[in-house]
Amino acid sequence: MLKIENLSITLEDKLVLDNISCEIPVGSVACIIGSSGIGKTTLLKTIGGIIKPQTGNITLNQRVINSNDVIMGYVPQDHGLYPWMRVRTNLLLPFKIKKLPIDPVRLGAITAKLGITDLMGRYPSLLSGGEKQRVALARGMILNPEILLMDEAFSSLDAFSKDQSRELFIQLQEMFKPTALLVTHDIDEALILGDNILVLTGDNILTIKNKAKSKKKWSEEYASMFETLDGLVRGKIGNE
Amino acid sequence: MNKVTRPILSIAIFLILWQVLSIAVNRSIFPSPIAVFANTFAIFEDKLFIHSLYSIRRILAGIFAAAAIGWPLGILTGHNLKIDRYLSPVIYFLYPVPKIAFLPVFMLLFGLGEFTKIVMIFIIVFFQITVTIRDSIRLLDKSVFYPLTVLGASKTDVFRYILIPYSFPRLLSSIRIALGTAIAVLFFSETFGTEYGLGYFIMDSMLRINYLEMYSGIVALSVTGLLFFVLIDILQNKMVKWQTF
Repeated sequence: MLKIENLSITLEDKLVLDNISCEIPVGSVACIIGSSGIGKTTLLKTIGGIIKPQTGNITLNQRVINSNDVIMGYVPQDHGLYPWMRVRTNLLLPFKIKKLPIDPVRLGAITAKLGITDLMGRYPSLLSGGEKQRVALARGMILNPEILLMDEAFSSLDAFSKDQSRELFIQLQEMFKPTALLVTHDIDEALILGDNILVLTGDNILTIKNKAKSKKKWSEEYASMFETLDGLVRGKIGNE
Repeated sequence: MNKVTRPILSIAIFLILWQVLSIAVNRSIFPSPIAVFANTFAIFEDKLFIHSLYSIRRILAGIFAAAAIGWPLGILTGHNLKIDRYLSPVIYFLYPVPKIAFLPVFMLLFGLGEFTKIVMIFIIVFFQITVTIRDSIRLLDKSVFYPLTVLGASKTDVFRYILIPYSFPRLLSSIRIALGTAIAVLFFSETFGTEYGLGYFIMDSMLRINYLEMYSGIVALSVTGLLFFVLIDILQNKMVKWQTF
């Protein structure tokens, strides 16, 4: 279980997260939604070790998460690829940082799955938005991470690339089973991808089991979940 | 008109204007380009080559020393606010001073020899590199570091995989910007304490009233500068391919 306990974050004298707690089952996908500026990205960055919490604990199966001990993957909105490295070097970077031997089988499997094998010799500036995001996803998954953090990873893509990238993400998630946390502002995306949906509501975090996952968009269950989540994000429904 | 014909045409126009002016002036103080280039080729092996070699060696030594110290210092001050707080006041205090003003100080400290000439080039290129690299690193968005932070990267990893490759094109740009001033100061510093170098050759030719050789020296100095610019362009194209797309 990935446990967040009594987490508080203050950034530039502003309390962003106030004593929040939640639990996410290992190997599941949790989508974090909430209105703009509510602290979704801050929560993700804190789990990733980018921001240090003032109080609270984040543990994975009772181990305190530390980026040196727990392997994590990170896929930001702007893909986060380094323009001075070719795709291949970008993909192999996590092996170099973690001082692990390169796993050619895994590299081949992931690049083939994401359809980026032919892009390995290119620089990121020569890739389309969808290709960049697939390379970023491959880099995030390359070390078989225990935790995968994705910050609005699909939001900058066009509708076709978005659907394609989401589908590939679902397939990779089923293959390798990292505990994935996705920040999104798109309730549809949360309902398509999330096993659980974490709704940040200013002073609390609500964990809602996604009953609508893999349901059709026009199904009754989907519509009802969408309405509930939309109400929570807009603050029209109380936290109780 | 393509990439090749355009520069040829502009140089041709410049040479025609020079030729016309030299005919109009009709004095030995302003020889024609044909005479100058013919003389340049004639004296290249015996005279110009060795002088050019000395000048090139001084420029190379100055640039390498400036890059070896200025590049890491620029990265450190740009990346580490604590170091920046100590070093920036000194850099800002010294940066606006025309570097030629340091010449008497270095002459007193290091004498009239080779070292002073190299130090003069060093000081010009060093400040340009340090300030350019520092500013570019400070502009770097923090999110660039996140993928490495999440992986638990060390400070060495951050330098190796982000700061060094990111700042390399800025290093080349700053050398290119500083090169013009560096050559100007080299010319000045070669007019004393040496019998080798293009600065010495040009001034010596003038004093000997050999204007043709003086102009040949100027052409050699110009070609030396051009060689450095071309070298930087080649480095940029070979090593910074990612920025050329």
